[in-house]
Amino acid sequence: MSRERKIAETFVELAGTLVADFDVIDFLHQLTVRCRDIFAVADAAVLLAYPGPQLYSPAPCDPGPALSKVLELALTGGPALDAYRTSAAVSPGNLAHAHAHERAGWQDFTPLAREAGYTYASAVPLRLREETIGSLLLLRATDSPLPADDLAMAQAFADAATIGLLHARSVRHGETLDSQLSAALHSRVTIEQGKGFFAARGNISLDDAFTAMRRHARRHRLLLTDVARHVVETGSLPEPPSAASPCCPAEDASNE
Amino acid sequence: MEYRVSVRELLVGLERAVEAGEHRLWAVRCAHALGLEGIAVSLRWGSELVWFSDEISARLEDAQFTLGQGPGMEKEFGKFGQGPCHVPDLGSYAGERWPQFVAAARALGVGALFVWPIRSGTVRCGTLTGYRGSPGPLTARQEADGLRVADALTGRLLAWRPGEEAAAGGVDGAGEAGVVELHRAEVHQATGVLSYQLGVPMEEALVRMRARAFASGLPLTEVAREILRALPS
Repeated sequence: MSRERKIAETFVELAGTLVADFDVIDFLHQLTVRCRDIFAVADAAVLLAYPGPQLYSPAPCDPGPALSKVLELALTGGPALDAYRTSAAVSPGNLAHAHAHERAGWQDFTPLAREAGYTYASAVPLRLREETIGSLLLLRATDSPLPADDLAMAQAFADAATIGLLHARSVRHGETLDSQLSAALHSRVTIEQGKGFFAARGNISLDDAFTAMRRHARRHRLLLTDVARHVVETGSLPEPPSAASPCCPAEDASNE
Repeated sequence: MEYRVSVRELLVGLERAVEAGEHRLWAVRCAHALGLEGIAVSLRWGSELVWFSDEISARLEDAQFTLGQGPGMEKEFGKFGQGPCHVPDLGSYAGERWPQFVAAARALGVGALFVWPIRSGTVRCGTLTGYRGSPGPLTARQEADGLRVADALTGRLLAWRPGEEAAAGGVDGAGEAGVVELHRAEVHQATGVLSYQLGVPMEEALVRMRARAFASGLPLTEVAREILRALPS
C-alpha cells in the first residue's frame, strides 16, 4: 500500500469515532500503530494529562522492552512533557549528541532513551483549541531524524485524534472530552487488571495474557476493555456472541 | 473558562493541601468550584468518611451508611462503565427508592444530591458526594469537573490509612505514604494477580495489597513488583 493511501486511511480511522462500539483505548492504540508504520519510528506512545496535571500513558497497551524502559521517565521529562507544556511540536532531539542533555528537563530521559536503542526523540501535542490534553511521543531508531514534513503530518494526526475523541459517541457517557479521558484512564487500568488476573490464572506471562485477550477480542469482534472486564469479573474470557460465531478462520489468521 | 481553570488549579493544589493538613479547606474550595454547597469523600470499604467540607455533608454520609440506603449505597453504583448518580431533585421520585434517607436529607435542608464513583478500572474505591439546598441539575461542565475530581481522588483515597484522624482535618498520616502512583501499570497488574491467587474480588485484592504496603513500610509499587515476580516472564 502506498504511503499516501496509508495516510488517507489513517485520517478516516481517526474520524470514524461516531460508532456505538467505540473503544477509546483501541483508538489511541491504533494511532500509535499507524505512526510506527507511516513515520518509520521504532515506537510511538500517547500520553495524557488526566485527571491531574501529571501525564500517564494509555497506549500502547503492550509497550515493548525498549519503550517500557523509557516511558516512565518520558512522563516527567523530555519531548513528550515539553510538547504537552508548550502546546507545540518538539523537533527531533539527537539522543547521541551532548547538547541533547542540555535541553532543560531532558537530562534523565536522554541517556536512558539512547541506552534503549533510540536515536531521535520528538513529540507533538494533543490539543483542542486552547486546551492541551497530552502529547504523542515519537521515537526513532534510525540514523536520520524524523523529517519536518513528517512531524507536521504527525501533528495533523494528533489534531484529528483529539477532534475524534471529542466527537466520539459512547453509549455509556455523555459526549464531553472529559468523559472520554476518564474512560481512557479506567479502560487502561481495567486492561492491566485483566492482564494480571489472566496471567495468574493460566500461569503465563503478562505479555502472553495480553496477547490472548487481544486475540480473543479481535477474533470475536469484542472490545478489548470488555474482554478484560469480563476476565476480572468472571475469571474467564467472554463467550463469543452467537451471531458473530460463523467467523471466517482465514480472516482470523490474517489479523494476527 | 475561568471556572474551569479553578478546578484544574484545585487539583494541582491537592497534594499541597494534603501535606498541610488542609483537607477541609480544600473540600470547601472544591465544593464551590463544582457549584455545590458541600462535598464529602467516603471509602466504600467500611464506608468510612474520609473528607468533608461541612457538617451537613458529614451527616448526609452518616445517614446513608446507617440507614443503608441512598444513591452511594446502591450495589450497582460505580461499577465499571456506570456513570455518576445524580438526584437533582430529592423531592421527586427519589423518595420512593430511598424513603428514610430522603427524609433525613430533606430534614437537613438538602434539595439536590450528586454522587460520583471514585474508582480504579473495575475497582470501586469510594464516592464523592455533593449537595445543594436548591434542586436543579448540574451544568455539563460541572458534571465533567466532578468526574475529573473523583478520578483525581482515587490515588489519594488508596493512600489513606483507615482509622487516622484525617477526616477531622488534622494531621494527615497518609501524607507519609504518599499518593499511590496509579500510572504504574504494575499496581493494576498485581491487583489482578492477587485477586486470582486469594480468590477475592478486585476491591479486596487492592485493599490487601495496600495493607501489605502499610505493614511493610514499602511503597505500593514495590509490593506490586514482588507479587508479579511469581509470574512466568
